Amino acid sequence: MMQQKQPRAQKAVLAKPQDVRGILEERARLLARQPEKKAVSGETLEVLTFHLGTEYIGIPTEQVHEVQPLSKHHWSRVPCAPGFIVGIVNLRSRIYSIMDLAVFWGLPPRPPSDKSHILLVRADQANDQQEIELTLLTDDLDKVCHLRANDLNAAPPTISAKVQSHLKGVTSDMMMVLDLESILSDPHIIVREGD
Amino acid sequence: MPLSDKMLKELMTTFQAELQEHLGTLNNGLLSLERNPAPEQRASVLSEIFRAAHSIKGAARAVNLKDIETIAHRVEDFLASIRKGDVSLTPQHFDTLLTTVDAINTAMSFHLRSEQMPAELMAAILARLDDKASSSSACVPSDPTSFSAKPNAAPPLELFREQPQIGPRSIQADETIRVRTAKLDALMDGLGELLVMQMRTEKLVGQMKTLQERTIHWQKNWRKARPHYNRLRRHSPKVDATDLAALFGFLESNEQEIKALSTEHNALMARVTNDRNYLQLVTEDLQNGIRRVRMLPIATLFDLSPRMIRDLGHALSKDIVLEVQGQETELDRQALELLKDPLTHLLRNAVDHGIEPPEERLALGKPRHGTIRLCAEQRGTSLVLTVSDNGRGINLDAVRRSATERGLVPSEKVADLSEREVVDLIFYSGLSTAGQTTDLSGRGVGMDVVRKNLEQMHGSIEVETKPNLGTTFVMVLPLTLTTSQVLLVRVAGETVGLPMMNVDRIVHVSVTKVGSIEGHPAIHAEGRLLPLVSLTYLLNLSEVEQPLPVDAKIPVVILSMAEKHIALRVGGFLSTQQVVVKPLGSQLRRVRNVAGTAILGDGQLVTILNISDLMKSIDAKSMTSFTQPIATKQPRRWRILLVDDSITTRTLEKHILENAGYEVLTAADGQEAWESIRQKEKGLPDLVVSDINMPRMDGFVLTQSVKGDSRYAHVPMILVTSLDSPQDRLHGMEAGADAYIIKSTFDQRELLETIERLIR
Repeated sequence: MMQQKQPRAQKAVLAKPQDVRGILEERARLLARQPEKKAVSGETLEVLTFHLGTEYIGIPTEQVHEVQPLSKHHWSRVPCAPGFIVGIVNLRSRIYSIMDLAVFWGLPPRPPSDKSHILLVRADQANDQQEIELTLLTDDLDKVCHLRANDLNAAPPTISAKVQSHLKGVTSDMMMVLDLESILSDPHIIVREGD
Repeated sequence: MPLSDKMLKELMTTFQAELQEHLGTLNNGLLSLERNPAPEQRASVLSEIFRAAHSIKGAARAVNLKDIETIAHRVEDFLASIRKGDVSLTPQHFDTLLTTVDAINTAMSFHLRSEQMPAELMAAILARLDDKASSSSACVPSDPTSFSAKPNAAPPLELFREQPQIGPRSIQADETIRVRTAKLDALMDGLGELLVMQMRTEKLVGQMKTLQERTIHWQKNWRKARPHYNRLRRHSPKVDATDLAALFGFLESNEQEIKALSTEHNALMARVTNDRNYLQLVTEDLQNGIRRVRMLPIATLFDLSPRMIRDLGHALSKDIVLEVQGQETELDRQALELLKDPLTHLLRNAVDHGIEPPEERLALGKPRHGTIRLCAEQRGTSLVLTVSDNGRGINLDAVRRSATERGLVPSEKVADLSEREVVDLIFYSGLSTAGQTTDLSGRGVGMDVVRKNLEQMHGSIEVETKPNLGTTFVMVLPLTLTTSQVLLVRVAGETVGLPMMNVDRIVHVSVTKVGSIEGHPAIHAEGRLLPLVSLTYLLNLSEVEQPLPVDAKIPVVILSMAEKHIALRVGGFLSTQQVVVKPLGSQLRRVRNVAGTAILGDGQLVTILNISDLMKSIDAKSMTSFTQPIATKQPRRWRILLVDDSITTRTLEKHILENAGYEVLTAADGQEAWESIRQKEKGLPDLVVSDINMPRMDGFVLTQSVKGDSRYAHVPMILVTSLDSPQDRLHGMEAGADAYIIKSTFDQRELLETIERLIR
């Protein structure tokens, strides 16, 4: 009944028990391989991958503060908010907005499912001098991968410029790796509809 | 020893805080000395301010702020000579000392901007200090950014006024600490989690109670089986004795076990309930405690006033005494901030416009000095703040004139306004009745901001003014800004909250009672026909509103804000609750129609709506977007029979009633009315409004006839007349009238409200 609070240092990836094993095994495998990889190409980027609508997306785990299943928390819609705002969620009595990147990029909205997760991300907004925190909606959680610098290619022209500006790059399996700083500093994600 | 940058920075912050406190002591001490207290008190105040100056000198030296150190030193010397009795204090000395205090503040501001106070400024201050004997009013340039020395005019009122105000006096400096508001807010959030835990404990207690029921159930069953068991034991049937013995043994031990279980369970229940109760107490206490930490005594606000009043009074050569009451009353920090400007404005107005110059006061037979009273009082969950003066009062004619000049009210209508309405005009922006705008006030932008600030705090302001006796402003605010009462309603499957302070009424309107304005559904409320707006549509929550069966009742909320009313159709009413309205997170800075969100006891999130936005949305869009025809037969209009022998009255009343959406039939006297009722060709009227004085059959007889006949007795009868005497009223009631309205006090609203109330 009472949720065990995972220590932050563990980079809490709170997934279902059956998934945890898979993730840990993958990690163990990759960690075991790492030294050989390092000798070959230098830096690797650890990303958490997930699906969002028709898209397959990876987000650098370093920038994710928390991963939570949406169904475990109280959340509500926000009437009169733009379409890319799914709603707001109550995480330990703090309120965060839930953003659907796919909708922000122009794709049609989908209702959340029980596999949906939210990723808590945070950035300092240099111009506003205010920290921005929000959660990104995912349809599910896939796995944790390690990418090398040359795994990332430029996005194909089929992807719009707006979306491209939000990506670090695309892998050969069409996984879009997010550039979180770019997304969080995009002024259009801020909702200021009032007088 | 050179200090590291970080060390210096921290030292500076500490110094600044300390400086503010000492300056506060100096300021208040000087003001109280000026009022010429008794010798013992005088001595102690002098010591206090001497120590303050001394401390400032020492602290400034420690952080290497030479200019402040020098000024403080001179002040200290001066005060020393006063204590010794070498110099006696004159009014000019007070001016000098007070402006020197401000000067220290200015010097600090320069330092905060990493600048240095210019030498000329410094010299001027010191010169003034040294020049104690003479009464020179050589002015020190007021604001630090422009150094054009003003010619010998009245002392500049804005002297050093741009700087942050002198801080509040520290009541017991060593017993208080400064805490960032953000930390307190984080504590409040943590408390929210505690409350959720508390709810879970509540649930556990409930489950334990259910367990108890199981044992009770078991015992019932055992009681039923027991006689069989007893019989069996007595007449042991022809079976294996050991089997039976084992079975019986088991049954008996069973009973013992369950008994023991039940006893222990009860004991446990008692302990858990105790713990639950205690947890509840502790949490509530903690909640209140944290909420109150955000609260500060209103003295922090009031402390700025004596100095301001004194300076303003001197500038305008008026003699003013300020009485302050209720400084210990506590108020939320945020509210204190929001009150600062309104209070300043009201006090300035009182000094500038309210209190008359001394000669005028004497000529009027009033005491020479004017009195301004500032009072704070807690009444229930509200704070009542009063600012009153015994001056001229508000000049209503001037307000009327100004209103017409500025086009606020057309000149024909101005005369119709009641006194209360005229006084209310002062809250409209752009209205200023001062002859010329003085430096202080009269720019006409103040009062509307005052009201706006108060409304922002969910508060209100009222004015009372009597010519020559003075003006009183009464402001009412909730004591804590953090929580508010909301009405939870269901809308399209979601729960939303409406601030209770804007909710007038909630009603279930029968579908048949829904009228229409220009084809759109409307209901009778507040004495008129209000369009019925669907909240679902207003919030863009769904395309289609559910159709209703004919005999259904529609849940409607009547909301109001500053005299405007709207009727909102909702899905259903849930409850009212006290909640903390929280912002929507850093991404959602402002969302239309949404004031924020609230976390309910179980962790559920509920959107709280912004009523001002809702009203604007309704104004902006056309009715068609928001009103949906109720999916039933078109309701017929209510029919009223109007009886009066005066054609003018008949026409006027018919007009009023038709505007309100009723169908009106008329009759010129009681006889005609009676015949029309008996004919019933057009069906019975739903209500009759009748005059009394009429030829052939008067109102009393008509009423008696209608009420005396069982076929028509159910029709409500309202008598409207100019006969106002107790006997006539009694006569009307005895005849059976449902209501009696006097024409001389007759206004639309009373009649319409009465009809609304009676019509069925």
